[in-house]
Amino acid sequence: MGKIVVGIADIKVSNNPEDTLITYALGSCIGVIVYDPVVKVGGLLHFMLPESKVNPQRAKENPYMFADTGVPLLFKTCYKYGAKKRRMIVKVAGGAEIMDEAGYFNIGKKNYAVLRKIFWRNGVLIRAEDVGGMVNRTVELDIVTGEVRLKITGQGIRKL
Amino acid sequence: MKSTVERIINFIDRLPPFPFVAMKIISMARDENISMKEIAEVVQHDPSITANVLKWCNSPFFGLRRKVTSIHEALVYLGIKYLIEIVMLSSCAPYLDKKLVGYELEQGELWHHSVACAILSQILAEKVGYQEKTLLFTGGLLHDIGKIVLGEFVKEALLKIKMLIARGKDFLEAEREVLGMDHAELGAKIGEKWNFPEEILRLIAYHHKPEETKDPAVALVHIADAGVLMLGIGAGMDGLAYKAKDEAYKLLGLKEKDLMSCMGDLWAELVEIEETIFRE
Repeated sequence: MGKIVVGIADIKVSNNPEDTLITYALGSCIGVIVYDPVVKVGGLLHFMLPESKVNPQRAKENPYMFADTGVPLLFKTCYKYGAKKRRMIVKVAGGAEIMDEAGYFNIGKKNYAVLRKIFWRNGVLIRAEDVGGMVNRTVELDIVTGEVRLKITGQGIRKL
Repeated sequence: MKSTVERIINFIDRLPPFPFVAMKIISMARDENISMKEIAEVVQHDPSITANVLKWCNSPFFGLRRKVTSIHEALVYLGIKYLIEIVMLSSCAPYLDKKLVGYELEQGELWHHSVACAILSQILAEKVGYQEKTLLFTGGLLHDIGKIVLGEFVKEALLKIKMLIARGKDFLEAEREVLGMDHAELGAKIGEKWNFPEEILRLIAYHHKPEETKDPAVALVHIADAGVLMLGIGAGMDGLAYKAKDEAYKLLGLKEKDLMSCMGDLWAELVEIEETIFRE
């Protein structure tokens, strides 16, 4: 198989050891990466916006657009492949912000806040994260090892 | 030794001219009484733009039931607004669909950013009932045209620019401080060389400073640009290091939740045009 690209407002889940899931240019969007090391199932969600109530019609067409509709589907899809919640390693990247002193352009911050709330309600812990700032991030998940690589434009690549 | 600003200006002088047909169409678009026949006659003069218009008309995006073979037919099916948009897209692509080394943008990234900004400005315009959408589309498409020239100079000055960003300046201020000119001012200079109308020059020059004009079109492009950057589309090594101004929201009577809703609609439009505009 090889590189499987996760688009904006998209999700991919795989248990094929040859696969790498990658999502480019997160901006204020957030990439949620989950991995069960026992069954080697991994999933990547690239959501755009915090809450589906701002545009219920689009949420119906594509639930992966929003944190509140996309995150539950990421976990449910992984369960179908045999992943178990208690074993799943969760990593988070993105949620960057444009410069705004007055606080009217807060999508990155709101995306992260809503995600934390969903995780808290469901008892999910974040193992590693790289969020905020003004940078554009790309993340990829290697299905065979569970390794997550983070690339920040202008700064190079490191493990997350 | 020439100053950086002089070298930048020399660069502009060497740019190829903007397609004559597209220029003519921009000026015709400002005239409300223009007829379809007059527009078709102008477009037909440029074989490559004509070929592009026909290719896009026959793409799955428009889903026409029969094959369109002439500009006149295309106009009947699409209407003037779409035709002008397609002409502008095909005229701007050669300039914007480029790799920009200084900004660390791969080929296609600035193009994606520009098209997405043009479309989001239209969606926001619909929301606030703004009427002059054709010029807005063209301005949205060309707002970052200055980057195609400035990219070369940003590359040379990268370290100094990064230092200023680390000290809290935004990318535009850093460009101006280090190079003597920012990509918005430079873009407007390119537009002047190409004889763009005043309205479009203003969109390019002020897209990061909507508070300095009271022009709702500038505010629309400013918010659209911020929305597209927040989606990560075309955010290179400059990332999201630009100031977003709430004055633009106030001028238009918009709120952040409106922008979010419009970003959802943008996603749906981008999915539809993906095959046509971004894959040759």
